[in-house]
Amino acid sequence: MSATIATMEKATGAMSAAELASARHSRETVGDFTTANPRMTCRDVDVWYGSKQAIKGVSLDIGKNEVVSMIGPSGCGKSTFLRSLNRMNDTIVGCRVTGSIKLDGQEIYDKGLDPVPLRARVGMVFQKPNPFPKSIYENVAYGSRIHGLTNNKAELDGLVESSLQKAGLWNEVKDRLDQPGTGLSGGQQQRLCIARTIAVSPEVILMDEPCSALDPIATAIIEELIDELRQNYSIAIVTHSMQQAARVSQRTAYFHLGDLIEVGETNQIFTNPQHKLTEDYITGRFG
Amino acid sequence: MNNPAPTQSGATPRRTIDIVNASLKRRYAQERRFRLVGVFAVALGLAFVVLLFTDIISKGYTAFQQTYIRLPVTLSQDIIDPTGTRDLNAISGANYNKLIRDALRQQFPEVTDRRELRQIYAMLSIGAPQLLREQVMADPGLIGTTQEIWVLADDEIDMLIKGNIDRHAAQSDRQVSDETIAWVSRLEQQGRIAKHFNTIFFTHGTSREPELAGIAGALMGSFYTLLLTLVLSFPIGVGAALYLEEFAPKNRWTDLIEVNVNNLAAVPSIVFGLLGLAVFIGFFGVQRSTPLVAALVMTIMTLPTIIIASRVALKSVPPSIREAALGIGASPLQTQFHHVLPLALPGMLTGAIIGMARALGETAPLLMIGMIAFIVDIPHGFNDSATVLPVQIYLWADSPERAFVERTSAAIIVLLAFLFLMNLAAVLLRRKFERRW
Amino acid sequence: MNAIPPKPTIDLATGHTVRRYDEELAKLRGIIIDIGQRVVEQTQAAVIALIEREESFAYRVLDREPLIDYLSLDADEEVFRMITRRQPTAVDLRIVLALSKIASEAERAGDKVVRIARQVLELLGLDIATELLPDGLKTLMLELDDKACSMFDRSIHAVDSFDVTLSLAIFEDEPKLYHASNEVRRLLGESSQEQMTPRQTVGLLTIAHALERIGNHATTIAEQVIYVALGQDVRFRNREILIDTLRHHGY
Repeated sequence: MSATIATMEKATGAMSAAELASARHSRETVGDFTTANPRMTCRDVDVWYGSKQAIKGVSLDIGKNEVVSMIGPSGCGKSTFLRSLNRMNDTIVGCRVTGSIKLDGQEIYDKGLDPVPLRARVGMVFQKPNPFPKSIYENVAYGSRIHGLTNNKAELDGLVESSLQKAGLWNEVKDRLDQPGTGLSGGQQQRLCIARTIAVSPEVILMDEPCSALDPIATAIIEELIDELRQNYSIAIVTHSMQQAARVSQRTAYFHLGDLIEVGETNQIFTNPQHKLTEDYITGRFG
Repeated sequence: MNNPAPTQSGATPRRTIDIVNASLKRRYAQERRFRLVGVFAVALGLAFVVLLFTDIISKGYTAFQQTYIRLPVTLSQDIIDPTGTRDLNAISGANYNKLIRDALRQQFPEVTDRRELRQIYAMLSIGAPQLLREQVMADPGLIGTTQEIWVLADDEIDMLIKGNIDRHAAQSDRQVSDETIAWVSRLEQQGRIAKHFNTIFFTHGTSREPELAGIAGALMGSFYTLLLTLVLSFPIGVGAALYLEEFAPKNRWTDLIEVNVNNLAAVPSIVFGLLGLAVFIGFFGVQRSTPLVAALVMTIMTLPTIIIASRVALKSVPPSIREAALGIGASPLQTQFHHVLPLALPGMLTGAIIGMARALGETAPLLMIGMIAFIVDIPHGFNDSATVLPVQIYLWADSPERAFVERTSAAIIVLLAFLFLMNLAAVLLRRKFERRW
Repeated sequence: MNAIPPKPTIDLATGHTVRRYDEELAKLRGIIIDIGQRVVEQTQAAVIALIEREESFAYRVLDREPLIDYLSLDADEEVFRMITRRQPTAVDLRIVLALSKIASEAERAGDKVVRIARQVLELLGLDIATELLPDGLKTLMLELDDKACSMFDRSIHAVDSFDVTLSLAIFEDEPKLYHASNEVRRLLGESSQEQMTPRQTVGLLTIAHALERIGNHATTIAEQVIYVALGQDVRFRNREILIDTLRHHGY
């Protein structure tokens, strides 16, 4: 809890209630958007689609070994923000990103920075499971093949196995690695996509509503997996399910019409949000 | 009045289900009518196809057989190889005509009149001596013996045998004289006339003489043209589609290009012929009437078809595949070549084969670039003068001889067979590529 | 930036997209307010039974007590239903959690009323020559009753609108409650040797203690109200500093 009465008791009189009230309704981000051990730091990020501004001055850190969830109503820009973190927005015509997004202190929108290796460092899992229409083995091996991560077949086999194991899929598919990845169930496909992503050893994994096409059991398996992956990766997840955000993430950011309204510890956001918009959204009230 | 219930129920508004039931019959009738119209339309189309095929096949199948006359030809050493050296030049230069004529004359010893003799000789094809020469040169051991040889008959005799000339009509109404009919009848009785499979049709180039005319030249011309067209247009078309669909910036220029590509697909094909004449022959000086120039014109003509089909195929590849590849760090080119293209290939191939089929059947632009020339020789390369099947059909259809009618139909049968094979190939290719995943 | 968010004193339990949710929250709150009002009424009845020596009042209190138990069972059921069906978050979560605690506090206050009524009946049944309740003691007892009831009544009102200001007033009343109960104890200690039997003294002491506990329950409820309204747990804090801080922020 960032604002406790205990701290207030030490320093009363900093701000009047009226001042606080007016601050609450400006679009300044409420809460602390920094984190102790950041991997990605975003400052004053604006994203434009042509003349339309989709993201307005968002600052947010993604820390090491933490899951940051991004919630908000449809069209609030959370997916746009996520996609600007590995420059997937580059493929969209008329999309511009300004401000600073750094990965381990390195500006990712630098002119000289190649987005192709960046996307190997910042992997992405998409809303709809999208395995390649190739075998399970090839799906996982593909990233290593194009980046030349392994030297021989044995190493590649090892990488495929360890990636599938980390994704919790190995036991289910080890006997049918040559079968098409598209023949798996939805939840298995999504885990295959996660295995494919972690096969290139990214530092950050972005997940864009990874469970929205899955049934509750498959969702639970993925959530469990996300919690395990946290040990080794930084994870940013966009989700429509507030329960999911509450379950999997350590910090939660609430987006509204392109603004980052509030960010904070997940516990605090879900028990005591500071901003009225956040509260209205997560309690399901009329805007 | 004792029981108010019926009046009440009469006054209540009709239930929805009653209204639905009332209209249900009408709706079903509508559906039946629509189905009938559809069945009728399909039946009509099928009927026309059947009509076309029966007409062509009934006219054309006889061309696959040809009439021959069996004659005991004395292959005299004195005439063929007087020196006895078996020198091929000498053998080649011999007077085979005399050999055949002598053999034929032996069959009709009573005929001495020169006019009648000419009629007898006319029963044989002009090409018969040439065929005999080839036979002898292939087996010089025959020289000095007397062989029963099947000699190619003239097209009119062929027609007579096939029943296309009415033997009982008045002499002035047919091209074959009464005497000839009598001689033919005699030969038939002797079993000296028979119909054999028409190999000439498949091995020879065209000719003024129907019995010597074949489609080999046109077939080879079509083959070379199509091969080159495919080699040129498929990579260019796929490349253009890939660039336009995946890499080109979306702006006014690419819009303009897209509109023009679509328009080009609808341009009458003869315009491409004029273009080819002006640009390739006139400007670049490509030799006219060759598979090369034909292929260039066909390439330009089929490119829009291939580009459009390829773009549709690319569009049908789900964007999630591209995202997946980009998301793990594949470059745009890797994304296209590793993932998008393999998925789009069946559609692209179908488009290409449809374009090829169209090119195979195309006549008009080829007339403009000299493919209509009368070319007897079978082409052996891209730069030999050649003609193509549809043009051959067009030329034969124009010829007055009765025997060319069946050859025209036969050539059409061959063309249709090739179109069918190409479509089959399209289907099979699709299957094969789609089954990969 | 560090701030106690100044929550507007609007009705927080309205405005859900799912209207049934509002209705369920309102129902739960209705049950708790019902319990609270019954507790206040019962307390007054029990004390009047003592002052006026009216046995029937005490019996009525005992008769009605099970109603409060049933209502608290209803409240629990509503809480379970809401958690399973709506998975409340943020202020809704706090409301449900707080209302659950408030229901049990109110129910325990109801138990204290029963204790008072039992003691009253015992005292009325004693065969004693002297007066049951000397005048001085009667005044003090009435004052204690007034404090406890007033605190409890206001705590229930605070629940009705999650009113922080009202809750603070309850906190401020707490010393007065302790003072009143101390006065009762003091007087009982002075006068016990001549005028009262030991049994009488113990009974009255128990009643005074129960009244004080009812007041304590009221402050606990007030804490929960502040938890709902401000989202911060203020139990086990120094009350004076807490009151100062919140007053400073305009409550």
